[in-house]
Amino acid sequence: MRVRKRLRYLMPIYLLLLLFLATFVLSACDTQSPAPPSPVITEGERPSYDLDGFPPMIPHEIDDRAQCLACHRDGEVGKAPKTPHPEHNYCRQCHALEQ
Amino acid sequence: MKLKRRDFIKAAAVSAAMVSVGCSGQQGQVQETGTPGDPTKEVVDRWVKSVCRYCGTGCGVLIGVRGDKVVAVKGDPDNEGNKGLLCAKGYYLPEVITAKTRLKKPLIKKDGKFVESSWDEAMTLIASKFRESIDTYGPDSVAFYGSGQTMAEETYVAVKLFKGAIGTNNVDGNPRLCMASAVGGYLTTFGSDEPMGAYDDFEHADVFFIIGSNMAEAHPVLFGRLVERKRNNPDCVIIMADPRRHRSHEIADYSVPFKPGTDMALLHAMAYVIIEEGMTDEQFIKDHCQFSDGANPITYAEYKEFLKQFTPEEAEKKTGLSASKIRELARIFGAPGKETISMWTMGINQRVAGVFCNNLIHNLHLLTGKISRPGSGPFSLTGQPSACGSVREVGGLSHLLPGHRLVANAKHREEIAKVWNIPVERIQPVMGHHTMKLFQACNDGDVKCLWISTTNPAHSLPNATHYHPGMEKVFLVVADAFHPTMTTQLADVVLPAAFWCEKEGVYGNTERRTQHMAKAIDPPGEAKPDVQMLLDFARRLGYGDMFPFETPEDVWNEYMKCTTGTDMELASYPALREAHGIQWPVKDHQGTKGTVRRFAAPWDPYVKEGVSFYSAPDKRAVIFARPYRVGDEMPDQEYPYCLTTGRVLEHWHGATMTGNSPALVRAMPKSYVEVNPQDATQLGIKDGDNVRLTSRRGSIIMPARVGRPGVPQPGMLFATWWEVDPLVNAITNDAVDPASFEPEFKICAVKIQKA
Repeated sequence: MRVRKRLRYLMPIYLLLLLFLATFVLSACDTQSPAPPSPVITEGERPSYDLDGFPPMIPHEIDDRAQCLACHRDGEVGKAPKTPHPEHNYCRQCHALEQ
Repeated sequence: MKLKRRDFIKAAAVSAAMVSVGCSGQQGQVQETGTPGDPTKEVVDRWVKSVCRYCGTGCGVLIGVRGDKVVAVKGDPDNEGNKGLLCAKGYYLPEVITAKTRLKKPLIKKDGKFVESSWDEAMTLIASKFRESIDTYGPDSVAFYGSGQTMAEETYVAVKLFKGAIGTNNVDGNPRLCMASAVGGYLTTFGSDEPMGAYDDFEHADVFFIIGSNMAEAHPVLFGRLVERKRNNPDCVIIMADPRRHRSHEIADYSVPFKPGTDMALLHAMAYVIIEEGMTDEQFIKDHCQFSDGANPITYAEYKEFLKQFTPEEAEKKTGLSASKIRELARIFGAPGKETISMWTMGINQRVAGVFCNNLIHNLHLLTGKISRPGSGPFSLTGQPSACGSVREVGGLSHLLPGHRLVANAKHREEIAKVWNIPVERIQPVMGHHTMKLFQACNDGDVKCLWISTTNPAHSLPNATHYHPGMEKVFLVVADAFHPTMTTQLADVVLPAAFWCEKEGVYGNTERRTQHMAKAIDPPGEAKPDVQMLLDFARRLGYGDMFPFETPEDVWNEYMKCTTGTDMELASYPALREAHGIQWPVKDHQGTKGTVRRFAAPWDPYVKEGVSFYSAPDKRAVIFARPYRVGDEMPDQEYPYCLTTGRVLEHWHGATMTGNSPALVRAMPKSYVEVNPQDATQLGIKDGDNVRLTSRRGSIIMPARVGRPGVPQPGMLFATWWEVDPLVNAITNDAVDPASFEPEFKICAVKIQKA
């Protein structure tokens, strides 16, 4: 009796945990996303950029002086993609706002 | 089934392990979900090699075409200039191509209203108006106003038509507003236009002396190259000399905020210190230089005597910089064994002292011998994509002829008359109207017919509204891809032009790199390339035999002949199609290698050894003792602030293109005037308040920004000028440099109050 009560009590929490892990897994391995830009190819003195397309747009609000690299340098904060080119210090030179 | 806690936790652990394994192949990156409208998600049929439509950097691009549409633009990784990198303006070009403002049919103004017409009706009207004016009032009653954004072939046809067929030198263009002073500087100092160095110098320079330029916003990809140089070589020194602090200062080692208009004092004082402290290359001066006061030759001793009025202590009184700082800068610039490159744009050029300031920068490189070698030299940055390739080189200013020639030079007129197969008397020996004189001539009724291509002077001229009545009065033809613009609205006939990737053509960028742009798609509706319009026009005026061209390549082949036998030969069209840009001179038009550096062996094919300024008089570059002058309209009691204007990364000039990109407009929606925080406090102005700016010419209201993005020094204001309303050029000053005729956009006197 006691075990069943405990299970009923904890089940929503287990489900939430499962959901959380599921979204994490799914978002991380979404095979339908475009390949991120290729890493920097260094030939001789200067690196060259074989960007396969388009600088991804910024899907979230930012401040005038956003510190992009705080989240995007290592890609460990939330779902922030890791930048393949942290040496470029002005992100909005290429990346535009989605809305 | 019973779910045991232990099982669940085990399962969760396995999932987590799967996640880390599954993601390791992506090098630790978390994949973002596809963005709406991301063109990489669309299939591209083919990538077409071209050049970006915007600034003088001349980034190589690849245009992605699917069916009959452009779906993507990306950087060309094989282009030496940008190596695959672009800025937001380039990436969002597809949005501009399909703008709602694209004009598809010719328009004729009837009873004050634009009516769609056929090409035949429009061209018949235009030809008859021009023919009538030429026959009644003479060739100088008509004119052409072109652009540093046209293709070389387009300007060549216009130059040949007006200067060689009709017989007027009234062909000018908007490079008069941006690069004329740089042209004047190179011509007077070296006898030959355009930088002798290249982007390649960035990777060899130890010192970057940047004055009157906001590269971060105006040449973003070049700025990126500078950032990279600093990152790879932290010992290199970046000096940012500018009365205003802006985003380029973020990588500067030295910020040099001289008072607006006082740069000649700084530059002369640096020369003084370089001489006084023995940083000159005496042998170089002896072998390759001469001195002049602008009117007559002078001696080295006389030049040193002249500089005594510009000691650092004297310059301190003028510039507001400390004498010790000026000395420090001169020592960095002149340090023996270090390579120094100078770069500048409109802060130096758009001045009544524009040519003089250019000369003084060249002086520093000549005194130290830091020129025409890797990492060293005076490297003027070009504003527009093809002011060099399409206008300076093709003769698209009223004093020029194709192949860097001058109308005033009898030998040059003969050479061009030979290529054009016309009697040499047809080419007028006197320069035609420069831009400001041209639009005043429209006001005065002296010019009766005007053809404008690929530019928007009703927006971009200084003191703009003063010239609107003339544009209304004159019979005005405007060829543009976009309508309405401020200029097309004043036209009698608007001709729909093919846009950038809808026609084949050639651009030439800052570093003498000539680049071919392939046609990617067809133009919409009945829009036509400007070359075709001008050829049709020429034939209707009766000059068909001078214009047997069918394609842009035909035009290029004749234009290329104008450079044969000079030291500025251009590459052949097939070579340009194949290569990713070729720097001239291309000796005997052969091959795709080009010339990275001029006036020195082993790079310049016309120099056997050492350095040779072979275009200068007696092969000696001129060091000028230019008299000091400040701006035409400096602040005074009544108008106590100095207003300067400039660009932002997101918008190009009058935003007739970039204003059609939702992404760029989102990034930069509103123009503004930057106010120094001290001044703002005194004036009771807060960030975001509307303020009224008034000059002797007019008054506008715009929002103020305090503290950011840029910070002008106290007593100075900086306004962006891309919006139609407020029209910042309604209040700017149209005084011109007496040598280059370039107007002084960068300095005028205003008063400011909270609106």
